[in-house]
Amino acid sequence: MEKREEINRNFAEMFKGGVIMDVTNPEEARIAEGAGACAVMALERVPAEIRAEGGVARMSDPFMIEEIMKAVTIPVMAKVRIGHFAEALILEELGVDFIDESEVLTPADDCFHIQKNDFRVPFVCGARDLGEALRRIQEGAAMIRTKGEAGTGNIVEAVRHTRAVVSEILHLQGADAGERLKKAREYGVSLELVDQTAEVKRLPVVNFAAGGIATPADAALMMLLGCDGVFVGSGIFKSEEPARRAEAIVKAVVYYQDAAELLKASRNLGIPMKGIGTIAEMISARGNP
Amino acid sequence: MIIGIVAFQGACREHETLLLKRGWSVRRILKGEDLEGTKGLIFPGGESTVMKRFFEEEGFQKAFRRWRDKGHPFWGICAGAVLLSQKVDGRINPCGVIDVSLERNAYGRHRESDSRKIAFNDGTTVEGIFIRAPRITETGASVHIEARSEGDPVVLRDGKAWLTTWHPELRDGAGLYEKVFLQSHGDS
Repeated sequence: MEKREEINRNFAEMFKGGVIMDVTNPEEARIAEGAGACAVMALERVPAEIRAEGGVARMSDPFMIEEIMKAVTIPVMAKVRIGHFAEALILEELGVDFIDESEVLTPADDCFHIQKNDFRVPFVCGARDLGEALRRIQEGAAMIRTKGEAGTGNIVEAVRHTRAVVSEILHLQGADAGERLKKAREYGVSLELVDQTAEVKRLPVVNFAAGGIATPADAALMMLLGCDGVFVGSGIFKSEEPARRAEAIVKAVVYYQDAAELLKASRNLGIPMKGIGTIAEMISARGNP
Repeated sequence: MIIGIVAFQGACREHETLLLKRGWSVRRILKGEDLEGTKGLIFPGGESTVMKRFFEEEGFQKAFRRWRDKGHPFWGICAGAVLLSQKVDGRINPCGVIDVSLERNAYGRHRESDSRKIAFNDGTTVEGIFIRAPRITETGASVHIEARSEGDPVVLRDGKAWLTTWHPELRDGAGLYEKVFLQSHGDS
């Protein structure tokens, strides 16, 4: 492995057991940091707004991202459109700590993702199953998250995606050399990457939950299903009491195995984001898988 | 021998793997009562602002103070070193226990994270990974500098308390697990 790729993966390891929160201005960033976020995602509109307002969602104005970078000491991430490597070059130049090549923004390329190995800055990408996750890792992603269904406050898709990855890895562990080779061809990745995944019994990079987390219980559910941490997008600042909810979700991720602490964290948080029960437009299906 | 890993947030798994490989037992520490019976403690890397919220809770502090009185070794790494330093970014850190001043993210953002050559006092050198690393800017009289990188102290010891500003757990440990948890140190 290239040295930079190793250091980028190592950096992602430091997020484990943490909550990464979407913020749209310095004030929200400070609230997130104060509540115990391990990083913030700087963006102009949270997914629920992108969903409601429509239009083309692009990389945020670097000035706005920079203001957030100045406001907090924790790492700052920002999003680029799938395949939009010019946006990525700009964010790398700006010095963001992590780039999310994200389906939440309007895809720029329906055939290719960014060749992330060409960059010094680390990338996180969404995935719905093991093949998609491994393709992104092969392209150079230092971190994977479930796509879930952003902006819905509905956890069902994130659960589906996590269960898919977990069961496919379990299957690989029992597969012989021939079947692993077949899987590598099916996924469009190297046999080495498939073997490595089967050997370590998880994705070879950190794997977070994202897309639909709205309550401490949602966060705990994703941790119990085997995720390393969670992203919360609209779930915090689209709720009635963002600071308290943010703090409670951080607690739920730390104490996800402790029901008494989860009960404490879940109490009296005000109204959560309303959310969408039946999802009409699937953001997670955008871009080339 | 049970070694505790303070597991509020961050890179616990790497330590777990290396401790188990050495035949030691591991316990993740989330509450004060978890400290009972552990013979050593690791404060891992991660985000110090997250860990601080839990580390500074009164119940945990009380239990940690009692545990420290037993004289067992403990070791803070990167963010863990931030928690344990008495002065952070020019301000007194009320829960700090080691007499050093430390500057957070002193090398810059992640863009400046890198591997650097580390030279121990005994002449051995290793490549160490520094991730948004802090820098130790001052050390008290009781603190020994065990290794430096580009002039900066990067491995420090005060009695049985150790700090490293980089991540030995991301490689094979650089011999530090043995140094911290197996050797007894005089203060010579």
